[in-house]
Amino acid sequence: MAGIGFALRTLVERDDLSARLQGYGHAAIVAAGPWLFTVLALAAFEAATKGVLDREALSRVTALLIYNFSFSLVFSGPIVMVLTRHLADLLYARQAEEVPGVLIGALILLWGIQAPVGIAFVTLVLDLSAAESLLALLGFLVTGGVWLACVFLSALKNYRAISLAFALGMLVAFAAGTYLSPRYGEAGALAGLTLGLAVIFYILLGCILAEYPYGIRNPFGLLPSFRKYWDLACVGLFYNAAIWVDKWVMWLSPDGQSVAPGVITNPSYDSSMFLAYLTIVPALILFLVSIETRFFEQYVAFYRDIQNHATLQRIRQNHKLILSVLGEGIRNIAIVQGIICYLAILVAPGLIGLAKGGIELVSMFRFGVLGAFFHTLLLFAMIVIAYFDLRRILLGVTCLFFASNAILTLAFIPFGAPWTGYGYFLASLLSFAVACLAGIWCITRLPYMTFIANNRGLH
Amino acid sequence: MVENRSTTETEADVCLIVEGAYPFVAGGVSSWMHDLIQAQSHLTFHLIVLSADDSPKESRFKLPPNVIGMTEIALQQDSSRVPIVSGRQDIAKDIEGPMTRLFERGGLADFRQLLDVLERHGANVSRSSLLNTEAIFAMVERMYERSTPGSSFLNYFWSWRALAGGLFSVLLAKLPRAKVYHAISTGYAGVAMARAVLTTGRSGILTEHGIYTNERRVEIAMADWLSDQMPSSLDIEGRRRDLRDVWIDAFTGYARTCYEACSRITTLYTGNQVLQSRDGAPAEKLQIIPNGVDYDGFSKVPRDPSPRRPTVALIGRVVPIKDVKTFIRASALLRDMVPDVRVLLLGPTDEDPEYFHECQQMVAHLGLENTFEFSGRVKLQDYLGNVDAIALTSISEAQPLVLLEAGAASVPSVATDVGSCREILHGRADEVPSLGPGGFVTPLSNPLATAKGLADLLLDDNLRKQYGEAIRARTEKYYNKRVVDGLYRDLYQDHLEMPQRSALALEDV
Repeated sequence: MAGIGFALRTLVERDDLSARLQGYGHAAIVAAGPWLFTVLALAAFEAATKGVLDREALSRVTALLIYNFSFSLVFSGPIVMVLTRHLADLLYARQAEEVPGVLIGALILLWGIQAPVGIAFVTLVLDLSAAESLLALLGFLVTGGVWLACVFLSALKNYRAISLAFALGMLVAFAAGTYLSPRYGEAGALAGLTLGLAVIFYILLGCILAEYPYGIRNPFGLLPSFRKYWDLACVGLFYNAAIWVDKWVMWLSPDGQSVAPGVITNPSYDSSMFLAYLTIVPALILFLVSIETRFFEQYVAFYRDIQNHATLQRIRQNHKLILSVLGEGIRNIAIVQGIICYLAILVAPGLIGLAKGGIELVSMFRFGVLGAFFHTLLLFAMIVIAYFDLRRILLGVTCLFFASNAILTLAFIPFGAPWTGYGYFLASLLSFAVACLAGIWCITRLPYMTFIANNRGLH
Repeated sequence: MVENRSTTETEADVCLIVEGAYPFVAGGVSSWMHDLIQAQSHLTFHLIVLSADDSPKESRFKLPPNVIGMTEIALQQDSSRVPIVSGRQDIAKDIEGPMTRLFERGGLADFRQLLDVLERHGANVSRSSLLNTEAIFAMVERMYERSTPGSSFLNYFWSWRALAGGLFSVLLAKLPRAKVYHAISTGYAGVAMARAVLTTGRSGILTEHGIYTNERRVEIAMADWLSDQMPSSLDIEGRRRDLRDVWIDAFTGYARTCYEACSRITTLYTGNQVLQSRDGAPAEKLQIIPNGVDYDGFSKVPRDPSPRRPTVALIGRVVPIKDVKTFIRASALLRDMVPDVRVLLLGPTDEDPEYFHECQQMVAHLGLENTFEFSGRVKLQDYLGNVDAIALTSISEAQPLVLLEAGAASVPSVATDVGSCREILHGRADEVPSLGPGGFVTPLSNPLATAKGLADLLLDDNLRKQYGEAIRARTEKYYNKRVVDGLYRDLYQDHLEMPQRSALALEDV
């Protein structure tokens, strides 16, 4: 008679955990990096071209740049999320020789989506010269490539290379922009920017291929992962769209300005929000430090000990430690970021004055700061949720953030300037609250979640 | 997902319940069942087939026409999606007591309570509500802390799920209607029988070929993954309870439930009854029904009177469990005692090529080329007339039919003291009048004893004839298939005629 039940042995030895451990360690950088870079690049660009381009030309190029960042981020989002996980699986399975192939495959996939959309937009909607069209399109494609490339380097924890690439690229953009824009106007400014982005992309590619000096094989090995991690792809899409959806809504609002045929923006909303985003930097650093060290250690210990046949008593102890480390981390971040947030709100009129903005920007900036505060906490909550592989919750939260940010921003348009930005603030507060409650609810029941509710070995 | 596949709703006379065998797995028990069903052609049968999982399987037998239905139950089933928000949790509270006791070598009372709870919760009971809720997980945690708090929780968790998952599959499946429920082992089949007996008020029979809990014991002892890598040397009480005990205790609980629920427990030979009693089988229910052989056919095999070399044979596959190497060593010793002896190995050699190769080397090494022959798979009737004695050196057997088939043809045997060999050769304690020995019983792995027994039979014509006659007579009287079929016919008849008990009036069980 068959020894029933003993086939379960394979289930006990199943282990996709270690792959997961490597997957999300740097999600904060991948998620928040582009967000911050967009803001910094815009500021640098304005500084570089000040007094060279006239106001209209400046706002046209700025708008093009914003479009570029905004849409390249949305298109690359699903691929970046799946790629992050696929790469972790590959590295865990010690198949590093497939990495160059995956890079090429991912780029082909991304550009295969970006190119038709970009070409259609540039030729059908925009009214630019041939040179400008080409440069805008190139910039769009290269930026998408940059977001992808960052995934590989953050998997390597090669933050130095990333920082260096971005610094050099911005320097080149600054220099080339300064040199080219007086001579060729808008086309020159665009050329300088695109060149800078290309430099970033080139350095990142170089670093990746230096680290993985293998031939290209199995370039479309990534595709099956989309079926497996379709929920992550949706998370990437919704989250990146959620970051931008309030801007899109504001562009289309009565306050939106048409800076060129087919290009609508809302400069006051955009700039106050971008300025507000800068306040999250301290929280981001704090989060990286506490995730990288204490939380990650406890997290790994919890799962490792289970796999290494720990007793229930030990599992409960580890669970308690995770909860206390998380609680402490959240408290610290909330305190520090709360203070910064409070200060930013306090000095808002001064800051806006420094940035030469109108008085109507003050309330927008204040809501932006509050929104960014909860948005950052939401991001952290999502990353912690991702650590525990609660992908359905993650998907729910990102959907909520996208929908509420769109709807609430729309809802407050009729109330006029004093309420602008309130929608974003409410949406991030609401999404954070939901993410936090869902996260707490799951993580306080972590042993049950691990063994039953979220145990893929059971299904 | 297919919970069970049923082909008919008609009430059968007998419902046979079998785990991991007929009709999907070929083997001794399966052939026996096939014969049993054919022999009782006046009765209708319904099969409940318990399989490890719900993968599609191919039938190895053509079901006889009196099988009117078949129900398949997969013991381990994948959980469909586990909802993040669990449904009803109160079932856990009610099943905790009986589950805990049943897993601690409990019995029918605990099982009945478990059934009551499921009955009471009715439509709310699902596989998921019994395995996947938070309350159930908390219950598993408490059961772990009661039984093996120092062992791997991961392994306990999976063990619990396997044990309880199989139990719940049996408890939730729809059982066919029948007049008698006959389980072919304890374990999950026995539990299914107990459930049928309790819920229908009909009676149950258990037939054990091997002893299920004992087979599990051996398997579990060999399952390395169940051992904890924690040092146990510091334990004062010697070996600490570990997960192996959890499995054994649960299977013992299932076996006791089954022993207490049925009204008759049959097995092949007395040795098994010792193990059954140890696991709680009441003495008054025990009965021995051996497997029968085709006495009429084998007794007609004529002895070849022409002059030939004295010949002995081992009938069996060339595999380690038959301990062919001891037989080869015995052959070398036997050749010294009976110089022109001829030794045959009648049986397939392709099952374990490596072992077969080693045996061939041994034959060559001992210079037995002119004495020892691997004859391969043969038709036994063609050889028996030319064989003077049978050897059996197995290290494990239940009831070896070859001793009886040869015995029907008046060929005596020398067999190791395993399974029912001693009963076959010397007669059971209740054999009246005693028919005398039909061969020699030897210790395990003892070539000299085997050789000596064979030599005695070959060299002493009178002794050989006397032993041959004794084993023939014993086979005719006790192991004749017609006799055994009659025993089963009577057994079924007794139970078919038993009055229907009320399903609830079972307080005296």
